[in-house]
Amino acid sequence: MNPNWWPGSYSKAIQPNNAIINMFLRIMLLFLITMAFGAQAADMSWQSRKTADLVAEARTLLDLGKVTRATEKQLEQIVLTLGSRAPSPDARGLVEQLSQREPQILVAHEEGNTMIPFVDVGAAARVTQRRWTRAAARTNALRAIRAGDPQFLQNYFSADAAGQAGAIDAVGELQVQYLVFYRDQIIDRIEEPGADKLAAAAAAALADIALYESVLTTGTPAIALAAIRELEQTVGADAALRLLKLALRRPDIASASLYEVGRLSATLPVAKNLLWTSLSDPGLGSSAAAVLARHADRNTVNRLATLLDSTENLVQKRALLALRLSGDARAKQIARDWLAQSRPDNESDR
Amino acid sequence: MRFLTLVIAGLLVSQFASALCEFENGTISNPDDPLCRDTQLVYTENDDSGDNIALGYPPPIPVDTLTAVDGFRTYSSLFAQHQDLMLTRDTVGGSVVGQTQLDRDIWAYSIGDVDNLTNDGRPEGAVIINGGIHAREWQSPEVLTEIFEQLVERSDDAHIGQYLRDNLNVVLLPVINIDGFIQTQTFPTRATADERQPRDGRMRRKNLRNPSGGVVDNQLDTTDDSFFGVDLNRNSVHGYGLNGGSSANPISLIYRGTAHSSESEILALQAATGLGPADRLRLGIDVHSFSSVYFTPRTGNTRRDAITLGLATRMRAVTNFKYRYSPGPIGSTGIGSLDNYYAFEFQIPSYTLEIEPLNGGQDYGGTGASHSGFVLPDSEITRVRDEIAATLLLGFYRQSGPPHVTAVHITNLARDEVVYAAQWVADGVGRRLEVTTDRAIVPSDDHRIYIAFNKPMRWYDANGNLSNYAGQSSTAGQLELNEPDGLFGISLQLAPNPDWLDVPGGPPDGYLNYRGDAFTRDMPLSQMGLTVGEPKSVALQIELTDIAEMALDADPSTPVDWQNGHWTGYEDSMLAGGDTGGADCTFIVFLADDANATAPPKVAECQAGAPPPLPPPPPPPQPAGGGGGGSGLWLLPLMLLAARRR
Repeated sequence: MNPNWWPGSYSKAIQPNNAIINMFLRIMLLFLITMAFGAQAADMSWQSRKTADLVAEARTLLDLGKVTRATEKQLEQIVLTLGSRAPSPDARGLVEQLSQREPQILVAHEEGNTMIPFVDVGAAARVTQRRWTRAAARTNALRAIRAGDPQFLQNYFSADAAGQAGAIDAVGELQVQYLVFYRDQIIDRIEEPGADKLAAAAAAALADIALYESVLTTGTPAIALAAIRELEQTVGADAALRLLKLALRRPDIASASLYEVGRLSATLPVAKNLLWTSLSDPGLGSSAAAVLARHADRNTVNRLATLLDSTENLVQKRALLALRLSGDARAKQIARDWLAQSRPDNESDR
Repeated sequence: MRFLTLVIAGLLVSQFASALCEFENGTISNPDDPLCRDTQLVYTENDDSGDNIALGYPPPIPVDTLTAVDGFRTYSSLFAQHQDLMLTRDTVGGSVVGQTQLDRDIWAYSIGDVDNLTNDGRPEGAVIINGGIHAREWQSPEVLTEIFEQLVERSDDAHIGQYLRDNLNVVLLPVINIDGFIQTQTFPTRATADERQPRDGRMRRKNLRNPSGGVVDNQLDTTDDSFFGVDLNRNSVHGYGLNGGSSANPISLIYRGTAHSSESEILALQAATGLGPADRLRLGIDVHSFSSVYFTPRTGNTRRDAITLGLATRMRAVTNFKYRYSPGPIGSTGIGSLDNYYAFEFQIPSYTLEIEPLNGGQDYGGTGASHSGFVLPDSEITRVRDEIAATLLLGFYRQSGPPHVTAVHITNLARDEVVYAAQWVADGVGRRLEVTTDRAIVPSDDHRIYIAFNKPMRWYDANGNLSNYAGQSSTAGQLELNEPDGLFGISLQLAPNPDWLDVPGGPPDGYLNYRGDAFTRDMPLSQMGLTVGEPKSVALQIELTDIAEMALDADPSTPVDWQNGHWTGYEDSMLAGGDTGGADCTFIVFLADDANATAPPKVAECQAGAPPPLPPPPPPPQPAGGGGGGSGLWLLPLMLLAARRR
């Protein structure tokens, strides 16, 4: 370390109290460096410790039978750390035992007048068990898919949620040539529980339009919603727009899909046109207004202003909505002026 | 040696690198210590290393969508949805009632018809509900938006939604602490300080007021302002600074501000009560999360406190009592929270409704990490929205007012003739009974009775079938015809169900205003072998409860209203004012063997609430060969007789 870097090293005439201050600053700096190093060291101390040592420590705590906040926190940390690595038989036994543990210490809720668990070792243990199941399923799926095992799909549909999640983890890691083999089978079985998640993962990995179509038309809302948010990145803007038009037919994800269309509108004029035509749609119009407001430039504001004179009541109201939602000051003023003109006596909107 | 000592000390202390904040009386006491203040926490699904906190499920990321999804909408989406409903629906009005610290508009919405009058022309009651006062409680704005949407969607349902539209004004503020909420959504996985009391980012609770005069910035890495803000749920006037429930320390999580109502967000809420208007309010709910409980003040107004308990019991029943009930000490003005404000300012039932979970993320299979209760998984919010909306709908229905009988028609089926028709009509400040047809009920003929009420009395499930509302069991009810001398009574159980009408058209076959607001019931009098001799006036005693288990207003001549924490004009079977209701005995018909008989003086009175009649005298010995039972009315073979209610 360059001693010239120390505070005060540039001053030639050091007064006695400055000497004390400088010593204090040096000690603090050293302490802070130690803390920074120490923080990493503490973290590394959990991660670097052997499974057997962690298990032994937990057993010691349990055998001592002393329940404090520190011991409960330690047990939780041990259990969660074990979840990040392959389990030994002893670790499995420990976690299985702890998975039945009720919260031992309650603390006051911040709202007062009720108590909640300080730490829930049992819950942490159950999460660890699911992580192990997921990790094992991932390993098995990697092996099966690489081998082109025809049983892979059947095993997938028979697995629980953690098992299916592990298989999907594997799909996300594999190269295209391994996944193509299962593509058509996944589409054929898209109606089965969990198929949409697998199809979505395969679609992303393969950048496959047909798989995305099956997800967007028949997938559960949560899976379909997640899928539309990655379309541009995986299949490109043009294909993404075609798929989003498909998604617009589903009321449960149509609004979110329009937001994605909005994100494409910067590069695809046809996407912007889709927003304008959606403005008059009874189901989509409010979302179209919100998206237009988010991407409003001067031309957009001008066009919305002209729509305030529309004879179509719904279009007029959606244009007003877009102007009001816009972050553009001019747009907001146009909306205010129009309202004042059309409802001069009403203080509130109705 | 000295150096080594420092290194060892650092290593030891650094075991708690993620927990270097110190606490005194629940408040961080070393906020300027960088090791506390600058710690950057990250919520993850599974990574618990370093300053990461594993939830056991993916931390939700806000979604841009106006439509409710399995997830949490961005504030801009929620706001767009609210504004669209206001601009496109006649039943929704809105006003800017104030601004946040960052000068964002705070909107309050009124849901109901424009006239603010009930169906019979009286001022409507009002309820107020708010959400998003604590920024990190994401469940709250979603629930508020859901009930907002449902009230609008149901407003033409010819059932409970339309009834509420016509008869109640719902004032709704979906998000009060807009600045804080947006801060949490800007950093959906990050927080600062200490896992035991995470503060900024996703875990911000307070608003963005900076005591130096500015506002907290939206940079999570600049942490010198992370602890600042006012707890808006400690800033209201009632109980401000009292009972140890808040702090004068700006660092504190429960910092109450420099004075009550110092915060513009609270002033906005106060302004919003005027949309009720304030003197029409009957219910105030402040929606929070978490811990699955109704907190409620008890003002010491015994009737108001009892009504508050009763209402909460019905609402909790909707979700099978998984929500607990936690009333405060009687008369305690509380801690400056909004439920205190609603309760003491307006003497109305008021709750802090803490939405689930009960314990934390472990309730959904998560790790139960500290503060995970504020991070509801995406997969749970749809159910939570639906459950709480159903709960609130029932609460609004109940506080709109009790049921009363509005009309009765009786048809002689043998002659196909309406023999009795009467309805309560508005008459100045009260109501009067307008009888348009009053002919004899001939006991040798079968009849059918039609009874209509002022509100839907029965629930229909999604398939249109009669059903109980979740957690409720409306009593099947009883219909009695009582002769004043007690010589006979005809009792008809309304079980399992009379024919509740779900087609429009009014009497004799259609509902009056809403599905389930009227029913018909056959009266097979011919099977009873009754003869009456002289025409006898008879009171109809009608007794049943509505969807939310409220009994009838026994005297519709005095319209029910709300004042000073209790119902007014809500009479029981003894016609005494109170909060429980009873049997309606206001419709008096007459029985005569001759269809053209003249009506006798109407002197019949209700047996409900009266002491049981004396047993009838033993029958006189029958002469040989004699028959008939003209005077033996007490021998009526009542095929449908049930135990008389008193």
